[in-house]
Amino acid sequence: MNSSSHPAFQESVLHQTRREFFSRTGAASLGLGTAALWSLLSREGLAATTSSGPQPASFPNFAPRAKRIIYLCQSGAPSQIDLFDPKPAMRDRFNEDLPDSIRQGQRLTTMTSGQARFPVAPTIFQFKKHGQSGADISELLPHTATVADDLCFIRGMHTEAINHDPAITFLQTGAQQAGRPSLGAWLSYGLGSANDDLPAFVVMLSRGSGRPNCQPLYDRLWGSGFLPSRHQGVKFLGSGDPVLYLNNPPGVAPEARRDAIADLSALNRLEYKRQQDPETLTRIAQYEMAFRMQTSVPEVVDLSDEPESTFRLYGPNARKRGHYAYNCLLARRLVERGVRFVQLFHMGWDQHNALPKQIRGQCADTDQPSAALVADLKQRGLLEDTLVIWGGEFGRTIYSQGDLTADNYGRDHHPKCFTLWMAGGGVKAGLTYGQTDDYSYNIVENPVHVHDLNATILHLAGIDHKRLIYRYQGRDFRLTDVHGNIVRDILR
Amino acid sequence: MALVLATVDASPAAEPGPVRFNRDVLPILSDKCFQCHGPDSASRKGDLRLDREAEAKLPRDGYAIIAPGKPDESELVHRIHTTEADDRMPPPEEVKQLTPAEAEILTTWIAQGAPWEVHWAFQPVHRPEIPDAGAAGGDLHPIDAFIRQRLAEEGLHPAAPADPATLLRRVALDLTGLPPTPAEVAAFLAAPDRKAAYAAAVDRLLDSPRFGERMTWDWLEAARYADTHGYQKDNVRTMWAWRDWVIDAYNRNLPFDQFTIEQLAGDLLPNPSTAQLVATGFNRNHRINAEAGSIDEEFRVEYVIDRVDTTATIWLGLTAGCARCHDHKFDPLSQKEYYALYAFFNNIQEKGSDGVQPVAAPSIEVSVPGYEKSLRQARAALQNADKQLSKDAAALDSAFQDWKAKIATLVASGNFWTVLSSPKVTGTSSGSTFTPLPDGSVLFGGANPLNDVHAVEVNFPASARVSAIRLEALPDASLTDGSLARSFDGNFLLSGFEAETKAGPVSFSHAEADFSQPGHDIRQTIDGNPLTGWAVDVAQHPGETRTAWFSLKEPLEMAAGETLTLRLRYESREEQFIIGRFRLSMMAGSGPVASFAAGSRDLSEVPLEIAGALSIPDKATKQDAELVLRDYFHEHAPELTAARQRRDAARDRLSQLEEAATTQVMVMSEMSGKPRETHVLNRGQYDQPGETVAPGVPEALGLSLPEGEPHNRLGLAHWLVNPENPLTARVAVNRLWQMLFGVGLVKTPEDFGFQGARPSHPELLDWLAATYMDSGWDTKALLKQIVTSQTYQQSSAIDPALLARDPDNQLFARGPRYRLPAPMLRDQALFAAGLLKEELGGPPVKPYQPPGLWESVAGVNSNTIHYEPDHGGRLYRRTLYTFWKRSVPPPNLILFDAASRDACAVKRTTTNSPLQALVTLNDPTYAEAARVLAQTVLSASAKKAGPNESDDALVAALWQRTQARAPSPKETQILRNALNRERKRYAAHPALAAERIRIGEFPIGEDLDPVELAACTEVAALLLNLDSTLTKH
Repeated sequence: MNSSSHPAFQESVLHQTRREFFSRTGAASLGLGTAALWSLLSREGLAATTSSGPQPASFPNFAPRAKRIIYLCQSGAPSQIDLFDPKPAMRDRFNEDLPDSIRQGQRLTTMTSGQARFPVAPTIFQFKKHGQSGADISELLPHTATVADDLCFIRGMHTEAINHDPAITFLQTGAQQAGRPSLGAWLSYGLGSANDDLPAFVVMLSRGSGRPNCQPLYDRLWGSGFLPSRHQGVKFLGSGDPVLYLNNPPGVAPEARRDAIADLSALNRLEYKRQQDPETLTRIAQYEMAFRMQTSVPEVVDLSDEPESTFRLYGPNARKRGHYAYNCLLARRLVERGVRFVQLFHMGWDQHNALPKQIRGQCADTDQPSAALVADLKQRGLLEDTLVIWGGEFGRTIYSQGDLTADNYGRDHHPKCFTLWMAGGGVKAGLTYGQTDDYSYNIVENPVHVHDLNATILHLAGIDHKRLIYRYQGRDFRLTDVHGNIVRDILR
Repeated sequence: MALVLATVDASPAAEPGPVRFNRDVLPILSDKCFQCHGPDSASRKGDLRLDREAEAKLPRDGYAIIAPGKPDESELVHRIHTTEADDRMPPPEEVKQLTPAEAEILTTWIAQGAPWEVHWAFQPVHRPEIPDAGAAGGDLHPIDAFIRQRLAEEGLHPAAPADPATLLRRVALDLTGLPPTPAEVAAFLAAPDRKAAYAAAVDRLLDSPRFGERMTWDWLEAARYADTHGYQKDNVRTMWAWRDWVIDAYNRNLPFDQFTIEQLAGDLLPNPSTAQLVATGFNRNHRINAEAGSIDEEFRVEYVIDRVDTTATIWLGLTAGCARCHDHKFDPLSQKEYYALYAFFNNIQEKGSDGVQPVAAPSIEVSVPGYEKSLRQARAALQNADKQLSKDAAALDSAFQDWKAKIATLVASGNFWTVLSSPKVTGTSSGSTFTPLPDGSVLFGGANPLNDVHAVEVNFPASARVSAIRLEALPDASLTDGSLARSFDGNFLLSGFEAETKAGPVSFSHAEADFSQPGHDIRQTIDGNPLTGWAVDVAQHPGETRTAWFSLKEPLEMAAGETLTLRLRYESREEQFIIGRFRLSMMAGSGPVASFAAGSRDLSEVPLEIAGALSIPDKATKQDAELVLRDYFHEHAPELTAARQRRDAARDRLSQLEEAATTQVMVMSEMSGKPRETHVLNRGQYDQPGETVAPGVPEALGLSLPEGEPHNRLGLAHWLVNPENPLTARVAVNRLWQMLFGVGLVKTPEDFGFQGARPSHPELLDWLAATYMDSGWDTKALLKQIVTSQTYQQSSAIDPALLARDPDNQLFARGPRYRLPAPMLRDQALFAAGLLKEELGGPPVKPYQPPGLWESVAGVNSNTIHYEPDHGGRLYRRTLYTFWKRSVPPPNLILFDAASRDACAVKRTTTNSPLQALVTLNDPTYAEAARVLAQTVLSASAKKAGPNESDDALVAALWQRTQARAPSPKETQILRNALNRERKRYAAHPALAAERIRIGEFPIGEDLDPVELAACTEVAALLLNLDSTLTKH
């Protein structure tokens, strides 16, 4: 992978650094073998936990079914009622009031709690059964329908918060309050990286065309919380440098940078000789790795080696930086190169009014690329051990927010049920799991809490969620707090 | 005893002999047993608690859990050794199992009589004896006596003193956050009495205003300070007056007890000063939500929780937050006690959803020091400009008479527009603002709802006739991309336009616009359908004003005192498609609507009061009317444009200064009337109140609220700084030690509870705590005490054998060595380059940041969507002043482990990653600093004879500005070679050289050769990236 032939690198300090690192942390006895340096360095947090805590060697706890994960986070909360959870009986209840027996006093956001009525708004979209599994998928998602037999739909997802900020924070970190590590940070912390010159955890963002004035996101959603900061998600950006500060300043040629890195290594080695601080050796290695990233990142984002068929599969927007389709394609390229966890955030699903118009836009953005990603991974033989997840932070209400007309309605936030799909990576294909009531309001069978989902994701990644622990403020923190049950019914 | 550890244990040496409860036993019980047999009654199993002596040793039916001195009769010993799965403790399915060594310790402890102790941190602070200095005698610094006693026990020796230049750099960075200048280093090295010179240097550093800035960074991270509210909207807030209070408090060495009292309860002091009120902003630094649909009480509760957790972490080193939902699992803090602390902070008149404006109530306005002189000057300038305008106007009397005659004719015709200046506007959504602008238009700001109806009330001072109404939508910089609305693309959709008098709705016969977007004709505003309306396709015509005219079916005859209400409806499916700045006018005349468009825009617009003034018949008031007309003429006559512009500029300058001279800050203040009741919240949920609790302090600390203390925040603050409080002083000195050594005497500064680390040097910790309190909580004195110890002044070079034994340097057998904290890295680079602008306090600044970061995540209705970097000196202020947006913190600081400011953070972490290398190599901040460093050195260095000699001097000069010590020949050689190599490269590619030196705003030294400057810049960049530059050592 080392793209440099400069003499300075021929006597690379990498192995020396690794030895120093081992001797310092006692990691040499941990049997990590030939794992990449980055991952070793990423393990500092784990190695630093107290002697009573888990040992670095304990991850993975068992052979992972999902060696790579791509999480397609649909920010703003897509409507399960219009996409995956058909309720044909609702057609006859158009504009009837939501019965109290269904609502059961559930708290509402202050956007609708003052509404005089809660009129039932059936979806205006047609559902059909697709694939041999007969999955129910709305007409809004024709491409997704073509991969129905590869997907596992979880209709019984539920969560706790009713507003976006706490809910998406909860989905990402297992807590509604800010400050905990994100799922990706936990994975990076537990498993390190599987490659030499790309980050372990990559994040990409896109704005929806369905509702451009959408809900915002925040860097802490992929942050490392109290874990060492190197575990935070590295944003691949939609404009400017593909990774922050990746490009040399203007007027600094690549060869000049290569020479500068060699000079720095030489000077820092002198410093090491004098001071014997192993951190100095780590720094030398990090500068070399930064230099390699300056080559490897442009290479991964350069799509010129993709055949025309790729763009037919993902759609024309796959050529445009910052678009969801581009991000899906890039996600595939990243996991191919050993990035363990890629998370996309697509904004614009928060459809309080004009839902029919807005959801069409969102589905036009996401349907083809999401399906293409699954198909593409499959044709490359990667789906087997790559987990793909598609879903948002909560669901939406059957009742209309604002005026209900024959062809228009809006839906408020709904934490009590929503649908999410998974594919590949040890999950049963062609399964629809869980049931909601006639109003898609309450779960009547096989509920899956966000903690259960996260426990299951970690399980598929080879991690016992009860053992992935970090002590902070005297407490042993987990992604799943003190909760979480692995959803074994959906595992292959 | 089987306590063989590969590396040194943080706690004092575990010599063979008696097992000590606090040191050896309690940590095991807490970590492995308390989960089910600890303070939390809800999760307690088998009715057994092991956190209290009496209950653990209570005889049970025929057996004992712990039988002192009799391990064989102790059920505990049996349970931890048995192989029977049903009996085994901890149960086999538990993740946390006892190691054999731990089981052995518990057994030995019981055999030794199971002596119990109060948790070390909850015992009162007693000043310990300073250990016998041995041969060093009375000369030994007390800190060194404690440190060396432990080293001797370990068979270790302290390191040699650091070389003087390195030491000066270390102490300068620690106390001011900035390195010493080459001149300061030279003077220090030349001083005859090194010890006296060092003491003098320490005094100078502590007296520097930079000291307060350096200390404040750490306090801001603890106090979760930021310049935005956080949560979803993340709008701007103004808390920097509080930040400046902190800087000032450190600089004037406000004793820590007073520092505590003023921040927690300054408002409750008798006759509090403004500064003491500002200090209470500490507990308003938490995030504040403004998400649409959020429930007020849910978030108000979060803020109170945040205050409890922050206060407990900073002053008590307790993880109180664990007791929010249930009794603490490890520490003796019940859920009820948690809510007793909560009660202290629960009586503020505040709202949960209030994070839209720069401050949420309660807040105060304070004046910003330093504006007195410029305000005086600006007022004088305005006065002069006013005088000049009057003088110029007086010379225009005939022009005025002509105008008056012309306008009288116009008014008589009725065919003129009367602008409705400053009408009263209300929206249906709360939180929106309507600001009148000088041209009579109204700017819509604040909350940006999805839909709205704007009602405009027009009061008629005199009778008037209305036959048509004109609506203008005007561009404004505050709207999306300077467009006409705050919608995502700047377009609007006016779904309805209505007029109403007390007689009822007014009908329109006709509507026309200068432009309508296809499909969104202006006539759709009067068609009664809320889903259709007028839109103007802003994207096709950016920056243009749009005008519409509505003619009435029948002219209205308004009597004096009557009100006309106009309504602008925005009820379509488009969200936030609301005109952002509009102006309304009326016409009395009845010409065809289309002809209105032809009207000139200036003097043929006649305000209501002018029309009124012209028609006044009464002689007595005619005088006043004449004044009104004259005034109007002065403000509009083209001949006076220049004088008016000068006057306007002076007025703008004054109002800018007046605005800058005051700032708002959120503060604490108690609600008047009956205090809000506090309940235990079941599972910590805002909507599940349980029993009522009164303000109170945790029992386990052994200090109750003294008699006579008020049961409010002031009483709490006094209790915290009471010398008998076992935690406050220990926790505070531990943080100062961490600040200097990178690791605290207690490695977990955030947790002094059962699960926290035990102190490496308990006696030293207590000695420091006692010294701190006895000195009157004198922070500067304590810092001086520590940095003048030999322990602090040791060399930080690492002995590999010692490293293996003590990787975290918890024995302090060497000096501190770790990567600089985020702000120091940037400040050091700016300082070395000579760029740093040393200026205390003021509003936050926006230095370079890669474009698009805010834009990529922000919601459209936030007011922190676009990051506009500042210019000039504001690019080079200390990092302390960098604008902190919570949802997108500055990336070049976050990558270096700065805290996110979402919640209190007191623990330092230091990582080492390739992304950090990319920052110091490529961030324009550093790329520019390297260039300016190079040009500073080049400008200063006079070329001497002989190329080699001059290059050595050049390299040495660059070196000296970034490193304290002198370069070795080998180092000089590498840098010289680099310089020559880059010279050749840039000489061959002069275009590259020109690019390299153009980075950043700071002007390029004109007389410098671009190739030489570029080459030198590359060498400077190397120096800014050296491990020894990035590291404190």
